[in-house]
Amino acid sequence: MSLPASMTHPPGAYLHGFHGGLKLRHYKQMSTRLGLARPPLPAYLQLSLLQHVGVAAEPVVKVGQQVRKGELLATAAAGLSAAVHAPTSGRIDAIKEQALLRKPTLAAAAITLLPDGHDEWHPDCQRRIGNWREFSAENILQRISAAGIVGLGGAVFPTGSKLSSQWGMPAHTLIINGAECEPYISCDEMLMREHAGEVLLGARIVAHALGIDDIIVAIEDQLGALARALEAARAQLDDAQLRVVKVPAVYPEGGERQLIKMLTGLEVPADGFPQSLGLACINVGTAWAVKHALIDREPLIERVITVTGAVREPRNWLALLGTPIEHLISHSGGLEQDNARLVIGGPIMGEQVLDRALGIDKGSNCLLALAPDRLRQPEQSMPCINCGECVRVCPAMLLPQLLYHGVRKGDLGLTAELKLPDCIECGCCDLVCPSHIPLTDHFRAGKQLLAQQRQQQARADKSARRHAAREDRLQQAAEQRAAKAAARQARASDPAQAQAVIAAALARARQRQQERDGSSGSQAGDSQAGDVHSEQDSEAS
Amino acid sequence: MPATLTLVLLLAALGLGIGLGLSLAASRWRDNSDALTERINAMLPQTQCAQCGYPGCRPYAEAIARDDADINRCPPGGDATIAALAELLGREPKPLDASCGEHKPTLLAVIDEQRCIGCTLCIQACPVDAISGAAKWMHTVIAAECTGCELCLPPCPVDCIDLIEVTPPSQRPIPLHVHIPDLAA
Amino acid sequence: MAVTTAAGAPHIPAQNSVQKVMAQVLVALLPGVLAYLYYFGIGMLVQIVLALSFAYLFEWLSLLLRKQPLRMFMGDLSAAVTALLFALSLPPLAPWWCSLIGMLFAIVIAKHLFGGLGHNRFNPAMVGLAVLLISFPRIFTYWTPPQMLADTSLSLGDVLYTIFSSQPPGALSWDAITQATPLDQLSTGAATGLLVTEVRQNPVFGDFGGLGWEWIANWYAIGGLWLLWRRVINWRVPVALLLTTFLLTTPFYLFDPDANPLPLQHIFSGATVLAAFFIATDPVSGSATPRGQLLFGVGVAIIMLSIRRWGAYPDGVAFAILVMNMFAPLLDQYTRPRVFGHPR
Repeated sequence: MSLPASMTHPPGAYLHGFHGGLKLRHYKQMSTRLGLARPPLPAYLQLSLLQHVGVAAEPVVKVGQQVRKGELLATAAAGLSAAVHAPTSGRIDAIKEQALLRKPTLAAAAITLLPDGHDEWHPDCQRRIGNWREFSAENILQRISAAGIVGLGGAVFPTGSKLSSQWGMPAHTLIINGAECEPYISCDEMLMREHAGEVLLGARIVAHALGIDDIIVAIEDQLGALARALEAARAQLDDAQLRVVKVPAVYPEGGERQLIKMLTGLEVPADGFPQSLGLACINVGTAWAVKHALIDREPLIERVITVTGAVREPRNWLALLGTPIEHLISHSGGLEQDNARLVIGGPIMGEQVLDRALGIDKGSNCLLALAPDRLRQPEQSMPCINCGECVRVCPAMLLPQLLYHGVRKGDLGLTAELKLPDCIECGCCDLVCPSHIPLTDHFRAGKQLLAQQRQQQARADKSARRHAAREDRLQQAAEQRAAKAAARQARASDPAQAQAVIAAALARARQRQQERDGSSGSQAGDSQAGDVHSEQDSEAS
Repeated sequence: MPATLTLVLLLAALGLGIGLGLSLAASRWRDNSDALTERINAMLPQTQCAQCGYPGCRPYAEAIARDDADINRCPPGGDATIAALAELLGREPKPLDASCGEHKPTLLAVIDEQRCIGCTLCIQACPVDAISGAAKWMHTVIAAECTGCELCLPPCPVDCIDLIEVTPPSQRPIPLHVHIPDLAA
Repeated sequence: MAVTTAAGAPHIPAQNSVQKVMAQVLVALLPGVLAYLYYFGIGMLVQIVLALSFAYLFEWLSLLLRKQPLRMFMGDLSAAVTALLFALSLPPLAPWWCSLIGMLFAIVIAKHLFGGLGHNRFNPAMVGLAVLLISFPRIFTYWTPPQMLADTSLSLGDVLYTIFSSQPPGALSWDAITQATPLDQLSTGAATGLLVTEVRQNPVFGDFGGLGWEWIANWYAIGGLWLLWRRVINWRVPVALLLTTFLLTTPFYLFDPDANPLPLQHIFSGATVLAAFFIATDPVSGSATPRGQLLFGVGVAIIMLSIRRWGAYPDGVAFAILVMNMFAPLLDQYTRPRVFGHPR
């Protein structure tokens, strides 16, 4: 399909820059020395039913039930949701409300599964299902949804919904986002190194579903060995319309909008999505999961997670979803320091782990241990000196220092004017602030307050409208009543008119009576009609 | 006339003239009260509860614009609304008038269907038509439309309406080191 | 809204700090300061010491009265930068109480009364300077000549005596130890109807700026360029200021070289270069937006040149900066840049 008018060259032909960003030390080699491996089976798996954006999945199993590997545990709820499947065979031990791993102050239902050690697949899984090239787009997207696949880059948006919202819109290029940009995280790199073929195959399946021919795999420019591995896989698959493009490693180049800017020079509109530029974008992990769903008939039950930082043996694990955090840490050599902070995610955008008994979820790309002396101290921040460094590095081209002043003062109108919702929470501003102000935390709070305020305003507007409509309706009803009463009054004071009305009423009654007589024969009601008749006769004469 | 006296009289006349001119202008080109009413109304929470003594938020806004009502009579709006009105009108904020009611978190009316007798009295009372039903048919409150004004409670002959606190949408609490003014939920 | 004890993200600290920023500014000023001392004697060092002492005295008192954490704010070196910039704008033999009054207005009033670090609306050093310029204008007529031209050289003892007693040392008169600056000469010359070329015959003028002054300006510029390279300051304000000065003075000069000074004269005399790289770039009182910073620099240049040409003061930098500080919030309001993904 042809490129949109605004795109002067095919994506990836030339590389552009994006405003701001930071060159960071990436600390990735420490976790890529050892190859990818599966950890031993843990004692239990803790599977949240809200591992995705949207509504929690609804359980279809009961406590005590035996399930097999790949069996459906919870079905996608109505609306935006995703299914959850059993990562291994075992028994359902509990279904209860538990805190979410990556949003520890929120909670949702979670299933605790006790593995039985047999790792027995459900008979529906691992069956060859025919040639995916012959499947319709609907079929492919349905299978993707049924497999519970969500964006594995961290956004965890249900992939089936994301792709089907594009379906029908002309798209020309599929971008596979392998430009993992946060320091320490190497799960995507490891996945591509060891399973490049599967990633590219999954990409081709998604492209087929969307009617796209061209695929670009974007990786960081320092990874020469990875580029060669991908090229080799591409050659093996004989996929001529797939290109590997290396992008400069400027954090946050892995952000979808920044990546698209780099590859095409165009900005995705703030209120729009990549499909408006004819692009589709998915993570390498998501592509890999698609291959497993469509070709091996395996739902999403495991993912690559980097365990790194202050652990004795940092590495990448291909871990089952629901594997407890504590289990992964102990199999990575344990923490180097007991009081290290555990973060799920990267050092810049990750969330502190408050409960190590929780299991990893679909969006857990990294488990990072940070020694206390490497942590920031936000309580010791100084006032903002307006130095402008945050403005220089912001990829969304915002004015973070003015946003900060706005949020601090509670001036939400100002923050809305300055486009606070456009903040991608990348944390670049925090990393350059000489006053060590926790800017991104303020922006997250401000965004929530703004959303809350907008919601309240919308409700108030609706109430005002409904009240006004009700007032109008009551007014109209009152006017009609008054008009009727006036008319009735007028009629009552004019004898000739009154007579005419009575005559008309009597005529109608006679008519009705005749119809009744005609349809049902003589009945008891005749006497009444007869009375009317006689009254009328006496009146008329 | 001595120069000083002339000066004093001149200045007095000038002052008087300018003062008269200003007051004439103020009354002749009064701040467009319609626009002011709109702005005041936009700041009110639109609960339509009549606790302020006026039959709805717009009449209260009109009264404030006419200077007939004080700005501290809205319990659902609470201190936040009083502060906003004070800033708009250039006055000092004051505490909520306790005789109007107290500020409560947003409430939702819920009808107990076991006890409802279908009398429609609450439907007629609701200022935003948030109750769905008809005579001798089940009544129910449309939660998305209910403002928590409590006007449906007094008319109900069987006292089947309860008020529950609205569960706010799940949000991520903010870290301790974020300093923002305490905005009313 | 509910709060949580969970740590927010990012978890790693920023590498920069206020102290580092201020320290780099001080380091960048050092070459200029040394050049000043070389050309104009030890007097400036005494002024610097006085200004620093009074600045920290007032900083300490203000922090105590405001109940702010002492260690954090005393160590951030922002008072040192204010003191140094203020001292460098004073004549080297100014009386000791100039620093007292200047730092009182700069630190206590312009900085702490407005809210302390990060809250001052006006450049504190310039506020202090402006107070002196308006209240004690005579102080600014006693500038020492560069050592190449000085008839007498003063010892440290003489200098201290002059500064602390407001009297010239020994049997010397004020005329013997002071001389008008090049900008002074130009403005009095213009007032008396002399042509610029005639005024420039005065030995106080060097190749393009004033003798000695031009070299100090060079060293300030080198320090400023280093600050640019280190990303401590933004290129917009210095470039806008200097470019505007050059572009505005050149047509005047080309049109009538006798009545108007060289563009480079304007740039290399007085506090132009110091202002361009160190004073106008004060982030707190300047504009927050990129285009706003350009306009800020342009504005300072225009006002400064206007004061030099038509105003009563020979060097209009202090007032130019203060007037543009007034406009900074307005500039912020109207020069907001485009946001990613929005058309405009």
